[in-house]
Amino acid sequence: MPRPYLTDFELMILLAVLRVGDAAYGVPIAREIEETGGRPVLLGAVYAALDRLERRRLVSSRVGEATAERGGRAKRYFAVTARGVRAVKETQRALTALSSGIAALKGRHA
Amino acid sequence: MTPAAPPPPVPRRLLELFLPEHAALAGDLHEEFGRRGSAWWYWRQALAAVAIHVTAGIAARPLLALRAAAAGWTTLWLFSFVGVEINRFMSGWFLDRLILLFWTHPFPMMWATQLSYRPALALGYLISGWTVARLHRTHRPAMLVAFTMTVLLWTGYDEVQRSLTRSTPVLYPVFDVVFAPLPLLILVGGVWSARRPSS
Repeated sequence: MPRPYLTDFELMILLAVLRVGDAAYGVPIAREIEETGGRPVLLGAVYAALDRLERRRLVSSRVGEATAERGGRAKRYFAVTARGVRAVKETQRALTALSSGIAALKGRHA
Repeated sequence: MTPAAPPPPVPRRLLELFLPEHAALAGDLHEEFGRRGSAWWYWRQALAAVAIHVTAGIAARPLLALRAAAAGWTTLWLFSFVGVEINRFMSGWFLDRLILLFWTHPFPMMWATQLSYRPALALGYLISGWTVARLHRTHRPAMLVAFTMTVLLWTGYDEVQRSLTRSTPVLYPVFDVVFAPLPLLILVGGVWSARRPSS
């Protein structure tokens, strides 16, 4: 049975794919996580997580165009599926529920 | 506009050999290298990508990895019957020539003993890597690495064990260090298999 919730890295990747939109392939996804999420990432780790998410049908992928600046290799574009959006919402809900009412998390200097 | 310099050839080749089905990842790294221009960055990303995907491949198929290790060790065992004969020939060949050159000086004799059985061992590693790769074509890199890891662990354990119980020449640890990477020839055998047409 697949895990119902996402790891923090999987959640970040799904959110980054959603933020980037139609042009979501490895480079902009990694850049989004680094710049917005403030977390340095390895492209290999991003792809390993995306492969895992695709096996769980939380993302889908399609092969794009090959360009000279990529050494003649095609891009692989990712999109979050409806099931993926549900998983993000469920994980967010669980995180919000777990963190609510914790005194240490309240206030600016917590 | 001047075309950007290509990424360093060694990590680029490693990506092609170990992650042949991840062309998009290799393309992303190529593209980012063009923007950053840092060879160090490319090396780090390429090595990490290989390590991550190979580890994930083994973790996802533990039984297949066990089968790959068993197939490799069986090949090594079967080859050992031929290897003994090669060793016998090589040690005679080396010793004959070194005795002529150095008489009975102990150091050349020690090198002769060490060097004489390494070619057979090297050939055994190449053949076992080739066999494992041929038997596991769909998950070749992960299965080759799984088998190589078992050999490295065993040879490492064996070398440590022998060096702890050894009471003689100080030169032996040199051999241990010099020849420690020999099991990596398994990967070379696997790559060699991948380069041959299957028909």
